[in-house]
Amino acid sequence: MNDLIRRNDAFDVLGRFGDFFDRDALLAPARRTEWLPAVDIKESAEGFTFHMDVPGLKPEDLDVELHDGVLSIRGSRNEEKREEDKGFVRIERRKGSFARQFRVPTSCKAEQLTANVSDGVLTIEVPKSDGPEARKVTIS
Amino acid sequence: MDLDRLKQDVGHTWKWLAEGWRHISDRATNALTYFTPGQGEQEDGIRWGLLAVDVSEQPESIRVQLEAPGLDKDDIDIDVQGRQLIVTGRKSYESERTEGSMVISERAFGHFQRVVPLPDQVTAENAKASYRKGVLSIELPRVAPPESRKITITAG
Repeated sequence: MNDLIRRNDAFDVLGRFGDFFDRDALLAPARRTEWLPAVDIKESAEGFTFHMDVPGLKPEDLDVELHDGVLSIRGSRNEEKREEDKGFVRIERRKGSFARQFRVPTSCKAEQLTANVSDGVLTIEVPKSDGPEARKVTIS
Repeated sequence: MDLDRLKQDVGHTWKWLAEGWRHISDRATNALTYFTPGQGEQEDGIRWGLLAVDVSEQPESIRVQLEAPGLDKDDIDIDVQGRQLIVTGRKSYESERTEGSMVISERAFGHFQRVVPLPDQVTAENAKASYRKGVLSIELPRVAPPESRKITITAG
């Protein structure tokens, strides 16, 4: 059983199929996020490891937040001097911002989270806390 | 219900879908790249990845910027063949190997080749390339057009 569930994720097509005829509901996530970086998530006894492809982004372009068991990853790619840099014959790279959210166990603590970006790959470590699960309840 | 009206509606819906698909494929066909699994890479992993590229014309050169995050710069090969730039590389899974089981897997690993059509004749000599923040930037000097030679026509 997996306790890691994606939320508000544009890849989650099946989950939104019920809203297919509600065009507003279908378009809402697209308005929020202009591109969707691919992610790998691994779970071990120690915690979760996220690897996300964010080419061209600097640490200050990224925002990682853990709140109430929801890990939010946001980022934005600024118009890299596109104005002065004219003469484009092909543009495939996505500009603008993205947001992805993932549910992790609420016992994971924000202060134990580490994140770094290298060669365009964002790595986030979310350690599992020994908190509530390890607490023994004595039955009298 | 009026049959003609129904036909018309179906026709509209189909056009709408076809137009949308054409738009998507226009945008993504080139960026969508197949990754061949190497040794140690998951055979059943994701095989397609997006390697988006921007190409711009500069007065003296053609500038190419390719998004290829998570590579070792020694694993990237750049080649020019005619009016095509061919970038081959390998996204190595081992470099990120960590303990644990995969929960979500969306990123592709393995060997890839991306062919980028160029708007002008370029020379691989004096080409400059750098790899920063997962973006490969390549500056390819244009081939100077051959100087026109004047041919004098002498009267016979």
